[in-house]
Amino acid sequence: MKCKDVSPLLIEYQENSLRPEERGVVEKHLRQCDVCRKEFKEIERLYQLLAKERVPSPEESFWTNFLPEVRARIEEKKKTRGLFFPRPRLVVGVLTVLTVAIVTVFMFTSDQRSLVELRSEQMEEVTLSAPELSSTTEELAEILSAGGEVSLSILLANGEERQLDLIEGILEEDYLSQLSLNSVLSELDTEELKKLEESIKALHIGEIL
Amino acid sequence: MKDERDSSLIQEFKQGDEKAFNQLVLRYQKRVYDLTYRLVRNHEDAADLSQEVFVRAYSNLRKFEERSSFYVWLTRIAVNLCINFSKRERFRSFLSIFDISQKPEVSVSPEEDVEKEELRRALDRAVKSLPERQRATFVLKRYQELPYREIAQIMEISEGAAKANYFQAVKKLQKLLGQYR
Repeated sequence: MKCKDVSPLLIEYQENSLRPEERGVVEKHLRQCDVCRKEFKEIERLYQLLAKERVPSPEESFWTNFLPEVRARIEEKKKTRGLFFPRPRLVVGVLTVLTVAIVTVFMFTSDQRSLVELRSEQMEEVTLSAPELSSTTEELAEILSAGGEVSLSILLANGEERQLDLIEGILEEDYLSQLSLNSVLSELDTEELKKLEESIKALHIGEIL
Repeated sequence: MKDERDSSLIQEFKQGDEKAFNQLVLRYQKRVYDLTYRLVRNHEDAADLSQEVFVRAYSNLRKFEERSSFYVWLTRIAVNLCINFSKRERFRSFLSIFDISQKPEVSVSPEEDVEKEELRRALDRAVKSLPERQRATFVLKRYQELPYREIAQIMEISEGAAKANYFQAVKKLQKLLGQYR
């Protein structure tokens, strides 16, 4: 037997789970081959290391309270929404994650299209000057949430770091809290949705969503 | 393999005996906690998730047809919950720019053996670095000592895939923990 055939068997050899005939072949090979013997020693040491680890025992009170707490959770669910309804926290969590992902993708896509742009085709583009931007975030949030009065892409294109920070703050604090996911998604056409999906996948978050 | 006592408790529960469910919790609470701890690697989350496993089991037990053993069924619930939890944790780390708080590292008490603590942390990091499904397969095989056939049932993959997942996990841990041998 060659090294490439023996190597995949070494873990099972360590675990004593090989058939006797395979075990014999591996033992014979190990007596003759330094490379595989070294590899086997490494596997052995890993198993010794793993064997040292113990799950810390929780306090006795944890076990005493375990069943009552499970029962309390069951009763709570029965009372609030029945056991077979989706958990609101989960739904809110998923919506939050989706919304944040969408905004993140929008902030970093090459054409920097704004949500405001998508909300209104009739909008009038207005460029805000730095002094105007330095006003309170609430004012700008109002402009954004009114829709159709300012192009975020223009702000981003002309924006300095301070302006971008300001916009990011608004997106996080105000804009996100006022947007419903449906309203955002309903404004996207097929191509934009596809692009969004690709961008999210590229960020390695697609599997979570 | 099915456990007769489990089957009898499940039947009693299905006939309306709530206390039968309590017996099932008491029978498996430690094993389920051990599993969730190995998967998420801290007490707080393991405690929460292990209790949630039984809440989910309660919701679905009337539909359970005993095509697998109760423990395998319970393990499937636990593994799915822990995989989803770990994915959310990973995503939260990704979103740390949005100032989502991270769990602080557990501090080492003076009397704790520094070497052991260092090893524990190294193991934490190494096991957590495994992809979720690989990690679950590793824990089910190494610590729960389940055969590949049952692991495959739990993970809804083939036995071959379960074996491959386990081997890849061992190889990766071998690489990551080389310096601690």
